[in-house]
Amino acid sequence: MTLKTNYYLLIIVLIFTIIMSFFSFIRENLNGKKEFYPFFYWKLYTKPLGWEYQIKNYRLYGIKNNDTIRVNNTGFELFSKDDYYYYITGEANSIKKKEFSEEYYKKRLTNFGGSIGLNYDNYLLIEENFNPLEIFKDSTKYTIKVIFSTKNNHYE
Amino acid sequence: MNKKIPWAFNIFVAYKLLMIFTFFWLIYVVLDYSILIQRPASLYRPVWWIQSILLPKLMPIQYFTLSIMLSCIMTFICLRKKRLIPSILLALLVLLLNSVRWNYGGSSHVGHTFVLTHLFFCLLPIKQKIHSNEFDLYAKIIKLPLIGVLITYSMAGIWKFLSITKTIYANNVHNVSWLHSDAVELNAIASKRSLDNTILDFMFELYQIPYIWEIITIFTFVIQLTAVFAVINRTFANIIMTVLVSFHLFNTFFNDIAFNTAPIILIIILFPYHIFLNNKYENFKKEFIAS
Repeated sequence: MTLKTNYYLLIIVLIFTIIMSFFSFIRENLNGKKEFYPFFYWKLYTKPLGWEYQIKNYRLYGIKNNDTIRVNNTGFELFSKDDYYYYITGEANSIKKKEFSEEYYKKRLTNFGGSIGLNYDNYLLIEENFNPLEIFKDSTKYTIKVIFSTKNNHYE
Repeated sequence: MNKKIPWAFNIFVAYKLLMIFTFFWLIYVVLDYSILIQRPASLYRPVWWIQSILLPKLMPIQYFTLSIMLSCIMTFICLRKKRLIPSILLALLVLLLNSVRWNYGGSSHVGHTFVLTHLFFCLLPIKQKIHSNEFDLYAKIIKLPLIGVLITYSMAGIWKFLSITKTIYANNVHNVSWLHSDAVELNAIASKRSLDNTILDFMFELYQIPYIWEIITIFTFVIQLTAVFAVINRTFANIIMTVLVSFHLFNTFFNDIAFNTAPIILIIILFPYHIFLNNKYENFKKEFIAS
């Protein structure tokens, strides 16, 4: 390959990545689909997190007898802190869109609980709402909303 | 001409280091896979369309082993002398191996800088000697991979400035932009909370200092926006590298946002090796241009 060919090839790849980036952006804005091309479309942190003084977070809760226990994101052998967050958030978003059957989510939540070493009778997927400035002063200042329960086995 | 030779030397060293780093990255991927394989199969669900085609299930161990072995061989070949076909194959393997872990709930941009660097560098000829009539073209070629990687930062910068402009234009006082006095602490607390961590009281007090964080934020965003211009000037490249790496490290330690490979890649591709490896650079310079 001559140097000239090499030069044009690199330019083509560069232009390709930029076009794909715009294509992803337009596609996402037109029909709300996920990023088509995960590279180059870097619309990250355009606003600070919690900019509405309100932010959502998802957590797994376990039910044993009549107790409901929050599964804190402490980091687990098979799911690091980041992975717990990715998994539960991804699952919550999927549940909200009702992408799959209730049975499917029930099985996955139960298996997830098992894989981080828990053994509860039932699990809840909870949306926690809080104001960052308040929760900094008092870590219990958040409201909860059930997104999914393996007990009733249906979307809430 | 003299101003262009450092770039040729730096890209030569950068490529070697990229290959050495790739070895370490492969070790990380193997360790990570040893965790993924223990997770229940039902937790696996591809996030991207391309993953559902290529990786509908967790990659079976025999394919995974094969991919790792191939990657090691290609990395070793390219470390000795960069060749086109092995490096293209390596870039594809890196793309594949990077996407193995992002099939459990969420995907993330972590690792993308590394993949993009491989994509652009695989088409880059690495020369230790060049004819004087080809020199100018080569000096242009070596800037293209850097543009390809750094433009991601510039694009992220464009979005941030668009968002800030929109907030200022709308003149909405309840709308917190990055220039609002509460911005950094809101972001830090919310970000830490995702992992059930809290920010230090000391940091909260620091975030209360007026104006300084707004100035730091704007400065960082300007650097982010102009990152792609690092290829124009060597001194500017040093500034870009220092600020962006600090920005990544700040986020890693104070906001729990760890883009593991990005700061390392930035250092690899932008470090001024010609200053620190001066003897090698002098030798390189003597032999580089053949008439």
